[in-house]
Amino acid sequence: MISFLSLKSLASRKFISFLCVLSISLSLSLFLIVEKLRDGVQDGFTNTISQADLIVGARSGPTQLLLYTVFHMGSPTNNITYSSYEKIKNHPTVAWTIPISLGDSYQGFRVVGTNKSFIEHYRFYGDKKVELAEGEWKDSVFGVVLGATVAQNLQHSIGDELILSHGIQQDSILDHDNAIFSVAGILKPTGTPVDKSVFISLYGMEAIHIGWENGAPSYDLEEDISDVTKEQLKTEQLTSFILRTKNRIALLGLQRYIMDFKAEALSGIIPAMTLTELWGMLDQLENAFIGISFFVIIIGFLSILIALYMSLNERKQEMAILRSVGVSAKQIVGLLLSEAFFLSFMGGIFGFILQYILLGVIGPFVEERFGLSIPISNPTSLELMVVGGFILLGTLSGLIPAIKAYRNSLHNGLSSN
Amino acid sequence: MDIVKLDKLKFSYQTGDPVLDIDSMEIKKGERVFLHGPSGSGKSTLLNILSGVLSPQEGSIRILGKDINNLSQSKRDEFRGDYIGFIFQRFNLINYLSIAENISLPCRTSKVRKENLNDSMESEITRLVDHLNLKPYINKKVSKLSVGQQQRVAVARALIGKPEIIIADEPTSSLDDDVTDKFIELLLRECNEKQTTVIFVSHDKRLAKHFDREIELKTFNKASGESHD
Repeated sequence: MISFLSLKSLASRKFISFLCVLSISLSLSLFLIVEKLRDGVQDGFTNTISQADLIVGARSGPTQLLLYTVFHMGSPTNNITYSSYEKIKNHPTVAWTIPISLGDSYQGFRVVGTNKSFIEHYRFYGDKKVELAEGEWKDSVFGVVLGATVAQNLQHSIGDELILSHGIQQDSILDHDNAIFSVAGILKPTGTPVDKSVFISLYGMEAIHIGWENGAPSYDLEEDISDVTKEQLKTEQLTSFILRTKNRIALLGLQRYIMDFKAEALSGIIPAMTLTELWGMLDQLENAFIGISFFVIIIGFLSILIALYMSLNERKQEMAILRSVGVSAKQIVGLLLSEAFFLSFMGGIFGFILQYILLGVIGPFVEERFGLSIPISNPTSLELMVVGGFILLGTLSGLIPAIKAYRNSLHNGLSSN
Repeated sequence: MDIVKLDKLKFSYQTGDPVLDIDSMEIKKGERVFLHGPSGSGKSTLLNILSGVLSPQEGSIRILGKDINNLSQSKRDEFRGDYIGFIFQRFNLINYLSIAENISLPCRTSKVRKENLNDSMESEITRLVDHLNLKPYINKKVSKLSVGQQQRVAVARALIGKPEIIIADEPTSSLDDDVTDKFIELLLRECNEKQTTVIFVSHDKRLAKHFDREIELKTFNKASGESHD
């Protein structure tokens, strides 16, 4: 009886009911999206690198070392010598290493000097590998492999020739224009900073810096270096390197060995730990996200409250008629609550669907802009609980109009004025 | 048998003087009573008490032999739905329901009214609609009906499921004179068939001629205070 009446009553106020459902479904979908973004950001952030046990670089703060090695943010303070790298690489507990040499850029994208072990060993999101979409990864002197975003944004394909710039500023004025690189491979999208990187070999890195030993080009830079061979190039320095131990038990021992390294001052950080620490520092951001979601939901509930409360004035006669046929004041409360329930139920369902539609629209934008992928996954049980809680609280927000209607119907009895 | 019996009934709103003070009043089963009172005589208050929405501070009120003053609020609501059909002055219908749904309301809220149906609800509605000359309008929206048509739908709703008492609160005050007489005749004819008690309230004394008995509220009500209506 009560649900029969409440459905008919809502249907008779189609426009207001529609607006109300629309506004609460928007608020719910925003809440769910913000939650997903928050998780996506954290997830993407902490999964940018996995399976690596240590990142080793010149002595500095752990965060700084992590940021420039993995996220290509900020700039390295100091380089490390290649001999130190080789010594640690050959340490009996080390399984593999990925050398990293930074400092140049191409059209605003960072150039990463490394070697084949990058594509062999770099892992993200658990055990995802970096894969080539086309071409190949040759450790040739002037071959370059582009991250997916770089290739797409600059419309490069295999065989394109390009000139790198010195320094990491977007408007670098010093070009390495005596060396012409050509695109040998393009990577598949990863949703990590890899997409925005330009990979060259350590040889190439060395070649373009011939004559730059003092940090600036010397006068005789006009010489053509296009025919230098690997044999003529010897890497002296690296920015940092990533390593994995054969057995995790050895990790702390190895870390101590690196920290106490005699030849130069090194830092060895555990990426997973530093990522967690760093994310902890972004707590404020997370709280802001939660705060925004919270208020968005409150606004949704308010719209139910307003829609029902405003309807009460024009429904006095209806209440009197219902009372006259034996409906109790308590059932009037039930009527209002069930209207609030149906509104929040529909809002809950639509909001849930709307979330996926909106994610489909903004997802690619976020991925493109911030390199973070927000996977459109099956609903989690937490999400379903949020929707359930939303419907419950939405129904309860009908309590205020319901109490008002209860009082009205006791006071007015069978008269409507 | 007295279908309504008031005894030493006193009622006042939270603040102020008593609105009703009635020594005794009896209405017999099947009786058709014209309750006359100008506005301010406590009519609406009395109707709210008779239908169990308000309860008096003193005295007893027995309907169908039952002291409804001793019932809980929700039992009184149930009692009203089971045994009383109510017709308002105007705006008798819920505008988001169809005519048939409006008529069927008491059978949806009260088991007793539903069990009183001889036939299915649909055929009872068809019968009432026929009797009250509403057939041509049955599919109209209630807001598109004339006041006279609306009041006839209200009669159908009050009558469905054979309630013991029909209370009509100034049901003709928005009707033209010629429609008024027809309306009252129609109402009384339907009530006669089922021996339903009718309490018809109006300030218009000319209507008294249709009824068995006339009650002048002023002579029963000793309270002199101004009431709400």
